[in-house]
Amino acid sequence: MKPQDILFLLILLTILWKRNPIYAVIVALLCLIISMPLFQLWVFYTAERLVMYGAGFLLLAMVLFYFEKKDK
Amino acid sequence: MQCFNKMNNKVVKITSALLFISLILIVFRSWFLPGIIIAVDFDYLWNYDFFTLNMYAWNTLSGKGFGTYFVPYMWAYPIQSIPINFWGVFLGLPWEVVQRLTFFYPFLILATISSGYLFKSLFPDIKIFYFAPLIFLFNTYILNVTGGGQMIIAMAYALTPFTLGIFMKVASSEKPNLYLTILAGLILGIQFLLDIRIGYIITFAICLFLLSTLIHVKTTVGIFVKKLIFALGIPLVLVLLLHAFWLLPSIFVQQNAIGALGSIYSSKEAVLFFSFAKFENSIALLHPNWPENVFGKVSFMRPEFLLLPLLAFASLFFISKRSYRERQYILYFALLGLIGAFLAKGANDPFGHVYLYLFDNVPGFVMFRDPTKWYTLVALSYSILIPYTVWNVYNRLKVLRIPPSSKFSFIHQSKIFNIQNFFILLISSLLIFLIRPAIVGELNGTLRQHTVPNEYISLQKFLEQQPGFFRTLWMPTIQKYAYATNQHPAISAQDLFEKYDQKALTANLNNQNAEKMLQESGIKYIIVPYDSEGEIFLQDRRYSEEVYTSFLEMVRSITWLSESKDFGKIKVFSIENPKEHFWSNAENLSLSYKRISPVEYELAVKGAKKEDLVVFSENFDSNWVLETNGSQIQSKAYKDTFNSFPLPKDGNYSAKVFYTPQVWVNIGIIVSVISLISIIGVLIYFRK
Repeated sequence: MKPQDILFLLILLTILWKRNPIYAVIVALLCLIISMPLFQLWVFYTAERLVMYGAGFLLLAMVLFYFEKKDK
Repeated sequence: MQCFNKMNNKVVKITSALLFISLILIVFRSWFLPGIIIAVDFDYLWNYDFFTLNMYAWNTLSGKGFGTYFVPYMWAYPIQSIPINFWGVFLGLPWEVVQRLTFFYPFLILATISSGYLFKSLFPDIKIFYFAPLIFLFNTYILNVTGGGQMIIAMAYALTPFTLGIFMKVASSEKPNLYLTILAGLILGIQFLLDIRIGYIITFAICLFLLSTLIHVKTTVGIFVKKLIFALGIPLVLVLLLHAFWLLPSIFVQQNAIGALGSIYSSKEAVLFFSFAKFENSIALLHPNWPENVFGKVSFMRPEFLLLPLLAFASLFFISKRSYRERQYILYFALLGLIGAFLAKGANDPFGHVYLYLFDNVPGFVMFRDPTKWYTLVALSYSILIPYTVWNVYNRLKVLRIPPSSKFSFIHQSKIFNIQNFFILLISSLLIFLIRPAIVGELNGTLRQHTVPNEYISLQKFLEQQPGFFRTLWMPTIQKYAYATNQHPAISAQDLFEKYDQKALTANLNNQNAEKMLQESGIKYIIVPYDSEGEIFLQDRRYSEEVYTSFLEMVRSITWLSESKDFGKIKVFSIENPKEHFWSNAENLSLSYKRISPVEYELAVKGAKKEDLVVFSENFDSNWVLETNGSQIQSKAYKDTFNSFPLPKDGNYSAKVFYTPQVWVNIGIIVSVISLISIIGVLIYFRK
């Protein structure tokens, strides 16, 4: 497991603990924003990983929105 | 004030419409200018033999030019055959006009109206619905599909928002609505007629929406089952009835169409090969071959395209305090986009083995050796999410508090030149900037003007005036402007011999057995084409005169071939004594035949002896039978390739050769037509 993956899991667990879907969306979009200059600089591995993490956080956000609705 | 607002809205609407139409005229200009539209997947048609109004279980022009069982592909033909026959055969319009009226203009109209309809039906209060067609019609996926000439897929893509919109209406209805349900069935039937793969994808999207209705806390199992029946069950039954013309023969004839195509279509290796898009491409709605659209040539990731998912998924910021319905729609389309992006990357990371598992195990998934079809879901999703985001940001900017004394207060005081309008302009400019190769005319295929070379017009006249049946063998392969009819099918040498190296191809022909094989196949001419489009004689993906010249010399070196004619760079070589469509080696036998249709021929036999073999030079299929005086003789393989019939008796008599699956096609056509008439009748009745 790479350091990026560990960081991803830590942030994921933090957001799960907070249970706020907006945080997940913010982190997801930040991942996409940060990946853009990395693609431009040909730092492909990290850039691709960031896009995957972004998608993961988006999925988490949707799940949290779903449970938020159910609770309401 | 109200008056001004109304006028402002009208001005905005008219301006937006004019800008949108201008963009269509600029990007698709070759469709509105004189000239031929052709591409890799969009051939030039000299005649309409391929698109008959009647449906036949056998197609003479397919199967590498030797005919094939055509039922598994029949679903695609009614929707093309009807307009082509109307414009081309009935009205006698040339192909240049017929192709535009059948494919290109309907695509533009359908994609625009369909995507606008979906957005308007979901968010009727959002005024910038024109953003939906802007994203749906001007993204790299559909520009590459239309540029490459895959117009049937493009038409199917264009209909998807409308299909999804109708089904969402049905699924969201509090009470079952039979009118909407039947309409949904009819639209889905048309969706499947356009392209069965896109129909499969949209059915998946419909099922996903039905599942998402479970989010509603009031949905019980009973209500869900009722929704399932009205929103999916009944429409699917209607689709099956409408498609009976090819489903019935498929069930009763039981030929494995996918298997017959070979492992290139059905193996895991094919999926691995065709998985060109990476996850960052698919989530950014960036086609991996953009903009050159050359098969296999994948470009580097263009990071500016990541602004699309940024805009799309930013919509999730705005749903917290919205109505249940609005939240449901945004969450559904966000999930749809994410799933579409995941599937469109095929076997690539992350979790590429999931796609391979689906390919091997899920019924119907074997149709998706090319995963890019799943971009349809991403385009659908972003055409809803991005306008939603833009509208919400627009409204937030509108109510932004700026003190009147501030030097920036002008950005609120102006009715037109204000920050929110500037934001709309910025986003529109960004979306147009992303597709700049299309604006400046860098795209190829259908998005570029072409003219038919005079050489091919001369060749067409030369071949057309020759009576009788014969085939032409194109070496190394058939060119875009190749002339082909039911009487003179064209064959690609590469496909026939399954050799793609030019030396190996010509070596294959350099023996006496090859001459006999081609004679028995009814091939009268070997043609080396003029590569006017630069697609055949390539070196490093570019046309090479050297490659053409060296190949021509290799063909000329075939000892038993003689060059008989040339039309500029088109070289024609004659083969002596090619056989007819029906022939026999029995010297006593005299054969004549008449073609009734691709599935029926009448034979007149003179001087026959029992067991004389009649060869029918179409691909072998045991469903061909010869019938005479009550006896039916099933076809036997001739040299593992063609059909043959041992004659049942001596003498002179007539016989009929026909393809038995046609019986099921005829029954299926009756079922489909009755179903269609009934559906339309019921819809009219309910409408009243």
